[in-house]
Amino acid sequence: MRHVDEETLAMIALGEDTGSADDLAHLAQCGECAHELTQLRHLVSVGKELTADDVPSPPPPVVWDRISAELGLAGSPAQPDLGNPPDIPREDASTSEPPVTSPMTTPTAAPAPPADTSATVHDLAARRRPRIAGWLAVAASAGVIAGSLGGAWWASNRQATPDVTVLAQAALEPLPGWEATGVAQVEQVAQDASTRVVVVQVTGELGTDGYREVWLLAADLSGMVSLGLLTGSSGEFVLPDGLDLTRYSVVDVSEEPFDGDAAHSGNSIVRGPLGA
Amino acid sequence: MSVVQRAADPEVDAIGLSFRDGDETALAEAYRRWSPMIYRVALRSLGTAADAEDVTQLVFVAAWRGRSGFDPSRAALPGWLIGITRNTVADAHERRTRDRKVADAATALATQPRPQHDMGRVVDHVLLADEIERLGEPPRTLLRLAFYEDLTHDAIAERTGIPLGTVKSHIRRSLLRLRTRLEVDDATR
Ligand SMILES: [Zn+2]
Repeated sequence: MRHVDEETLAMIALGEDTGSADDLAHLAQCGECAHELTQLRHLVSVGKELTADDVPSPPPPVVWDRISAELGLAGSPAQPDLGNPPDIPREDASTSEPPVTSPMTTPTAAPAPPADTSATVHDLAARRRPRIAGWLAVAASAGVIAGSLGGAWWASNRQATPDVTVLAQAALEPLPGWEATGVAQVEQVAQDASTRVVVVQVTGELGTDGYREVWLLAADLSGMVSLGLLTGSSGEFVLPDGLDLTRYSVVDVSEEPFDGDAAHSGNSIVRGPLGA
Repeated sequence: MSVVQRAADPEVDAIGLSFRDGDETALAEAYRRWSPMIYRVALRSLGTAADAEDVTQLVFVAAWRGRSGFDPSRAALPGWLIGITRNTVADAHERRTRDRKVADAATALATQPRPQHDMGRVVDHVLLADEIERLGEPPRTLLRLAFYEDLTHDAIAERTGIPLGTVKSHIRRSLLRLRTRLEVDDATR
């Protein structure tokens, strides 16, 4: 008898009522499949317990200074976080830990010597795709792209409340070739002053290829942060603690192909700067 | 815990070898890559940033001074560092317990943050959250919809506009990838 396929096991582990009668009969008598399902169920139960507090974040820079001093490091090797202000620990979580520690990550994010981004600062705005893609690749290899951050993951756990303060907003304008507009607001909930949420709403033609991803860009393009997937025409994204909105001040929605590349495609649909 | 990632990673292995051989740039690289995980495990376990900073410092100092005891054939460097972290956190808990006997018990109860004593669970959570962060889009959002909004695959496909087959394969691959993190940890507890 054939084993139950992995996709079916995954769905059952996630609690879906699925699987054919043959699948279920097989599960009842195949130790291998049953073991696999038990492991997946354990994973799902642990995964559902996660909160933003579980997401790794770099210690403040002073820790490295102390280590370096205590060990009397001769060459005082440069700490990679040196350019990272101590007040935005979460922002740096992914850049300080390059995905190469994981067996399945894309090679584009591998560490590389710092790139000179100054020469290409205006390329993104011009939306000249080949050069944009080039800049993004460089930025990614330099570890500039902060990647997605823990907060966005648990956005759905935020409690709905009418008591909201708008900290900043942006009008999103279409880039050449697109016919869509939108608005974005950064909101703060009175009951939870430490949590900031970006609410994005887009109308018009968003395209049907690939998927849509929401980003915050630095105005000088020295960095970007993925907030997550835009499903439908609106979405809410929790900002990571301490993320500096004066630095990441431009809201951007891009069309991303299913190419397994986590970097920005360079194909932006709408974009706009945050203001009061 | 023998390794943080199961699949052999030549780059991680190379850092481990250089680290053992006393190359200070390997120490800096190890710190850059793995201090966020160590710091977060300590923070979750002990509850205060000051203690977590101390633990992070102690772990890297101990690892560097004891680097001759690191055997790359038995463990990858991050796994070895997590092992040292477990011991260091356990020591910190013990010290706290001793201190508390001296301190006014009522005050201690009122002011102590509530730390998580179950190290295995804390490590599981941090490693898993770390791996989820690395999934990239769209797999991360698809998994979030399955985990935290309890949506079925059909509903996820409908919500995102991503074809059902793509949703299924993304979620399956994400779960299998995440599982390597838990398995590894379980195997060495
Ligand atoms: Zn079977």
